[in-house]
Amino acid sequence: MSSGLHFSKPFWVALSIVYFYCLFLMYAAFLILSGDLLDSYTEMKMVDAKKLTGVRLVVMVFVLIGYPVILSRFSKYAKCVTVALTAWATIMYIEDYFVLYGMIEYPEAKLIALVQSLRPVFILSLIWMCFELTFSPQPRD
Amino acid sequence: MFRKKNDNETAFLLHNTTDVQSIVNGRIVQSSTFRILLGFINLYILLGFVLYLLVKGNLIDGVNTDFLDQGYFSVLNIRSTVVLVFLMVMNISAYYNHGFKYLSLILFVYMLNSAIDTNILFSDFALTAERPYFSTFQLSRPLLLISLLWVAIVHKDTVKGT
Repeated sequence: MSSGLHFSKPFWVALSIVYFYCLFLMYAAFLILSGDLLDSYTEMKMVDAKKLTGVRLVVMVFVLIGYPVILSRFSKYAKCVTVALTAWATIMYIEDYFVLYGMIEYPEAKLIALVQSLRPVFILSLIWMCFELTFSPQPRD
Repeated sequence: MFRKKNDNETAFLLHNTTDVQSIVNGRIVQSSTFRILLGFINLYILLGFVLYLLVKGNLIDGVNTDFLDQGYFSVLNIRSTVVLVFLMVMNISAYYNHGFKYLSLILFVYMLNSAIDTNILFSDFALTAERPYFSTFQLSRPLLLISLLWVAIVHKDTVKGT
């Protein structure tokens, strides 16, 4: 099983950043869903933000559980899965800022501001992982 | 008088001839499944863009377009342009046979994400009777997603044996 996990230190650092960020994001999403951070928002915007966060949270939980399995047991497909996840994270980031900015608003709490400001670091870590998986020779290749 | 060539020289000449032919005529021939799927993807996205232009120009009669004022039009505006640009890039990559699998995978993720967002944010507007064109596009979105995955699977990056 461990024969497929021969990656460089920067890859593990990037993977750790991604996992820490996702866990932090899950905590923030949980606060949004529980309604602790939502106070002065219109009902429509609050409902939309909650719905979207709920769906993204469910997908994220599945990905966080499934990704180590793919990385260790199905390393042949790890590159494609990582590219798809990076694309998904980047698309969500761009869409939130340029497409959905008029419709959904997230709470103005400091925790959410921190989550938003750390988002580029998360995407850069994912991009680093993509490069590593694409250009570094893997033992199983 | 020509000297008789030995086996090594003949093999060298044949090898080089094959190389020249592969550079000149070396375009990888994709399967007919690939061509049909790529044609379907092009048609679907182009029809979507035409629909967007018709709505933008108020050229569709008899369709309730009130929901466009509630933010849907700005979303449609950006997404249809982005998808059209993406389609062009994907066609170029298919022509040059470089990075096509990744591009189709990224477009698949983009379309999936936009379908989820639209279903969450505009679920109240999904009335088939009032907006048959948009609803048809929304309902047939899984076909496009399957085609994008399928086209990535059947695409040939390299010729076997090279």
